[in-house]
Amino acid sequence: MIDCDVILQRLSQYLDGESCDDELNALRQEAAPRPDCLAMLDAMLWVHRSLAIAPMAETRRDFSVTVTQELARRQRRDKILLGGILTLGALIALAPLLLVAWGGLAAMLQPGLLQHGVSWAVDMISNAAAYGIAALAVIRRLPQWALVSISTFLSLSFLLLALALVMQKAPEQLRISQEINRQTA
Amino acid sequence: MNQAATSSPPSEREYLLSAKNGDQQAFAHIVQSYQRPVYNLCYRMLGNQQEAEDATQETFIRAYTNLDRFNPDRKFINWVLTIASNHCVDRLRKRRINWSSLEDDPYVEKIPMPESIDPHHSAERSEMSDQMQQWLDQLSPDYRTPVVLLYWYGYSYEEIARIMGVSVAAVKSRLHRARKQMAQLITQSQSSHPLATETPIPTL
Repeated sequence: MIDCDVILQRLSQYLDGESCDDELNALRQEAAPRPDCLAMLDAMLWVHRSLAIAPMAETRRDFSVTVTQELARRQRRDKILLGGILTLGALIALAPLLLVAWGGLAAMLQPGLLQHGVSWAVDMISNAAAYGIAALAVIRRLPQWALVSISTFLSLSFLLLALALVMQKAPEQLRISQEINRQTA
Repeated sequence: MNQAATSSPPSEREYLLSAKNGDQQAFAHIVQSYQRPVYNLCYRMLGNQQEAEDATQETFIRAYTNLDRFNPDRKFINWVLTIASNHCVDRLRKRRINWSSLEDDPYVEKIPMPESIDPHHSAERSEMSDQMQQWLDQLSPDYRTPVVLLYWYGYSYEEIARIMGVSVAAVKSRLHRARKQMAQLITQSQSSHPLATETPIPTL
């Protein structure tokens, strides 16, 4: 006796058009001694037949109107969002420059690890945030010029950061070199 | 879109090209052409009129914003139905229902029985369609999609596999499980119904 699951599997193959018409009679005969299996077979056939003639769901709503309205609304929203992102990006990119410049100046006037460490950490956090904004811009598929602007801000920020760090380290390096020269002499 | 320059109305390809260039009115023509099949898919997938309308609108908005990714060699309806089915599956998954446990759900007992419904009788087709929708709502999103695409759109297994991003064997397997699960729902509701012995499921 064939397992009922196998019978149902073969029924599905029949419904998928993979076997001939005689297959259904053969399956019914196989399932006949087992009422549960025959009930499942009939139910599967009923499901198939009912689905095959099920009507399309209808709606009276005209989506062409609502879709164009929604598209216009989203375009307005995206413009505002883009302006906001660019402003935020500019502020975030400029903030570390000011902080590093201030940190560099302070370090030159009064060298100390605290000054260096604080300005470095603030710059890293700010740049990470700026990259986050840039990633958001990519996800939101903003225009290319917006991405270029953000990238420029970031590049400028890193360039000035490097300059500021060199400026911060230069007096210390000079002092160490002089100390070594003096000791050597 | 410059319709005066041509004697015949613009073709779908021309409407799509105009829409791609930002012409929303051209896209509105596309929406009018395909809103019925897209809405039907969303309704059959989601089983709720309001949600289906929202999903239909979102499908067309996603299609418009991704028009540059559309391959013109492919049928637009297939592409837009792919977007619709993916969106509906996402919505269904967000409902956070444990689909696998639904066979033991007491809600199953509330589903009306097929009883004496004759699918060929037009007066009873609407009622049967509602019942069918209730059984369909019990299936997991992965099983629901191939059922809708096969029975309402007549897609081949290859087309369904392409839309769902799975193999043809997986489509057939899911269809079998979907039919079996729906059949189980019918037999379970019949056995729990007091009239079950009097009104068996009609045989073919």
